[in-house]
Amino acid sequence: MNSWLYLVCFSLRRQLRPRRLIVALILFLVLVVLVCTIGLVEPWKIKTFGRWIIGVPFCRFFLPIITLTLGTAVIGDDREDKTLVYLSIRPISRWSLYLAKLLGALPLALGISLGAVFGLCAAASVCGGLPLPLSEVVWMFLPTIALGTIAYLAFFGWLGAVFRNATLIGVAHVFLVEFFMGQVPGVLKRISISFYIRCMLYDAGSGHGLEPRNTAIFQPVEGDEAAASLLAAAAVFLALGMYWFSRREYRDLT
Amino acid sequence: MAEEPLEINEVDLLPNAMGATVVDRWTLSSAPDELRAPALAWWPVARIGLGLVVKRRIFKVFMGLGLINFLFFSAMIYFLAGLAAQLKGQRFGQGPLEFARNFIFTGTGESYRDFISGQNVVVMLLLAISGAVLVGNDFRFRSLTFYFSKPLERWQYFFGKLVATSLLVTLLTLLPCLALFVEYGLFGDTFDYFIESRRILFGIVAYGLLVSVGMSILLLGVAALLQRTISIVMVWGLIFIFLPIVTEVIHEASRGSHYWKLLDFWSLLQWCSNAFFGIESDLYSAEPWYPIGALAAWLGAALWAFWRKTRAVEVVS
Amino acid sequence: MNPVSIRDLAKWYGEIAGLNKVSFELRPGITGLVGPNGAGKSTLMKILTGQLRPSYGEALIFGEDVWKIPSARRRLGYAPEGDSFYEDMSVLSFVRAMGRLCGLGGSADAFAHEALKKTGALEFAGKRLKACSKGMRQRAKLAQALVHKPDILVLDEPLNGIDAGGRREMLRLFEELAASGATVIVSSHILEEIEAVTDQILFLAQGKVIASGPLAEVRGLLKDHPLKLLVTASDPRRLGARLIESGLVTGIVFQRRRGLEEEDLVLSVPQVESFYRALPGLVRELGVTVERLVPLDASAEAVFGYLVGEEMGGGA
Repeated sequence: MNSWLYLVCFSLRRQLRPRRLIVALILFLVLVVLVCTIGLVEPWKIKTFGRWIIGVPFCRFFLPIITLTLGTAVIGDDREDKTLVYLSIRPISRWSLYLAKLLGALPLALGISLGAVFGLCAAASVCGGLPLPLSEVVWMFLPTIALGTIAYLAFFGWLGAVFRNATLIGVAHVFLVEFFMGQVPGVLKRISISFYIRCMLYDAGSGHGLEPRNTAIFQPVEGDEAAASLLAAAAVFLALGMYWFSRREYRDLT
Repeated sequence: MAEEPLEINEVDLLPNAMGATVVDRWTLSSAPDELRAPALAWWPVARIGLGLVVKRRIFKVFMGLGLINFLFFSAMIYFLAGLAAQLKGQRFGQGPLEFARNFIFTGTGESYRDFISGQNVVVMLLLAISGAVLVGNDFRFRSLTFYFSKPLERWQYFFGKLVATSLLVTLLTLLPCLALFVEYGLFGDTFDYFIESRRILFGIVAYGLLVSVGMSILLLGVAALLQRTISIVMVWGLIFIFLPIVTEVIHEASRGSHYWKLLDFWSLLQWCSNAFFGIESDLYSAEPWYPIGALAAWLGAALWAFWRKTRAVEVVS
Repeated sequence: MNPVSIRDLAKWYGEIAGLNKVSFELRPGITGLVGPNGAGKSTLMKILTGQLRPSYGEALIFGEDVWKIPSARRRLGYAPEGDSFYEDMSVLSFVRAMGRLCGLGGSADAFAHEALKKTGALEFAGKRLKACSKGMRQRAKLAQALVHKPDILVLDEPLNGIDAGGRREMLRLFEELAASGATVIVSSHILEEIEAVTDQILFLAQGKVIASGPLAEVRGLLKDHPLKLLVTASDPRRLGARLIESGLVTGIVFQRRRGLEEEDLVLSVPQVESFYRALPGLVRELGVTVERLVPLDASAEAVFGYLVGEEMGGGA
């Protein structure tokens, strides 16, 4: 148990790569500048803040990209650096090794995503002002972002265990499936995680005018259903990742 | 009989001093002739790089995705030509035909511009792989030492990599666009389309080359700076997805202030494409130096980053 | 129970057999693993360390299947061939981390120091791995394999990049570990050094074990390759004639020493034991002085060459 817990902490430390964090910080600061720039022109409403900041740039780019880099790095970093051998020869079962590494990435992913949401809400509150207290606005978006982070992380972690070029495949997935397919009419968009995140977002902000541009095309589901779907996706991809990693031989370990 | 040992002075061993100069191999001009690389030394660099990318399975996937768009346009041109032939002389058919033409493919500069722009997502993804494979790996796995231990100038290394990445982009943009141009012209009743559309042809070549070379330069700078696949992909996504989203939001929120779009590389390429195709646009029409300067700044920064990082030996403290 | 048991082990990569029904048992001591490129050495080591799943057969560490039972790896230490590390970590923190992952807990620091001292890496323990030379990195790699004091040590090319003095130290270390009861498996291309410390050698070629055992015994089994002995004697012609008469040798070559008039004898000896028993008597009988007696092809490298030549179809 000791070695497993140490592996979780070790994995968390390994994820704290300066370049990655700097890029996340730059993205965040760009969003803050965006919030302040717009907020100085006119005060924020929940509807505009939810759509222009949380909805599009944050949920459809920042969140998937951050979870992509952290999720695929769970196994991908060690594969690329050829250091996976040092972990695979330890007396730790493969599935628990995968679980430890994913759990090691989770605090960082949640920290960045939730911290960024809090920061953006705080920036909006300072620049332009929000119609509700800061804590209420943060709490409105927090569950959505948290569940979205967990679901994305589990998915990209699985991707990293399966594919050697997981980052590129993940990017292709984000831009082709999450971005484009998430906007097509019909039920096809329900294969994207971003659909359920947006459903939760619209459900949370429905009392403040935050809704899809075209409800007939978007056809959202209820917030509870979306939350359950995200949790189920997280559980399924976590299980898949553990199973895949435990069965697969990585011949490129050295 | 033993010979007397020969007295040797060190001075005798030194050749006549010819005004020895310190050769700085990092500048373009002071390498002596006998060390200078052949003029085409960049071509093996390009060829090897292309080979490295092309043999990857994921390259074929992205090429396939890029071809989908091309095949769609190509099929539409054929469809419209066929429809026009079928409906010739029929009054009722002309309405739907005009509607289809306007909606799908008009054969004007906008159509070709839109086709190349439509390839941008796949091009972006393809370049992200190329950056990591062609340049990032050279830095990470210290292959630069091998390149610069040969009589290869730094500019030749750069040019070779540039040619490799540009060729990849050209395969998805310029060449299919030229194919569409030829196809559209050939499905006309005469060859007049080719004569009348010289400006369009110029636009295709110029825009295609700008997209290929411009994006490649940007990629080389990013890849040299960041080196790792994940970091390259993140920054690439930031430049080509995040910044356009952000600038669009600001553009919407500020009720049409277009100066923010100077941060968007796509938008700058789009402005250039309008200029090449002769498409009228209000954006920066009175101040063309803004987008030109912004584009130059982007490419200059990328070139500077690449030049700085290109060393045979990495000094580690 | 032997520490390492390999039974009918096979590993297929598609249609290519990486290992083909390999069976052997290893006792405590040093075992050298020798074979040409593609022989299956790395595949064998990877299966033994639980990185690859056998296609057939089993690889047991103290009776436990190392792929299925992760806890079996607790008694295993492995130094891979590759030169990859967590580059931003210092040597000490890397070894300590590996110790913690083996369950060492709070004593990991002390164990790490001890392992680094053994491998001669303590003096640069605080240096980042990225800034270390190849030899330093090799020592760090060995240290992480030793940190948790395993009973079985699998070392893939452990002497790569280490200078001559360092190699001697490493070989002494392997001998110490073997003397303390560990089973050390070493794969190396520096055969002359490995043969000096190994108790037995496993020769692999084309995925099969073609010979195993102490080197002298393996050499003795190569009937198609009589031992070549270089003899420097005061009267080589007389000695050579007498040896031919006695039937102890099957061939003699008189070899002139470089730049001199004297000759040496290069003998082909089919029965080494008989030859050594009879030689003193013959020498006394002839009144000849033997100054030097050196086997020319009893080394691991020579034996390896003969075995691989046979295996590849070259024959005698």
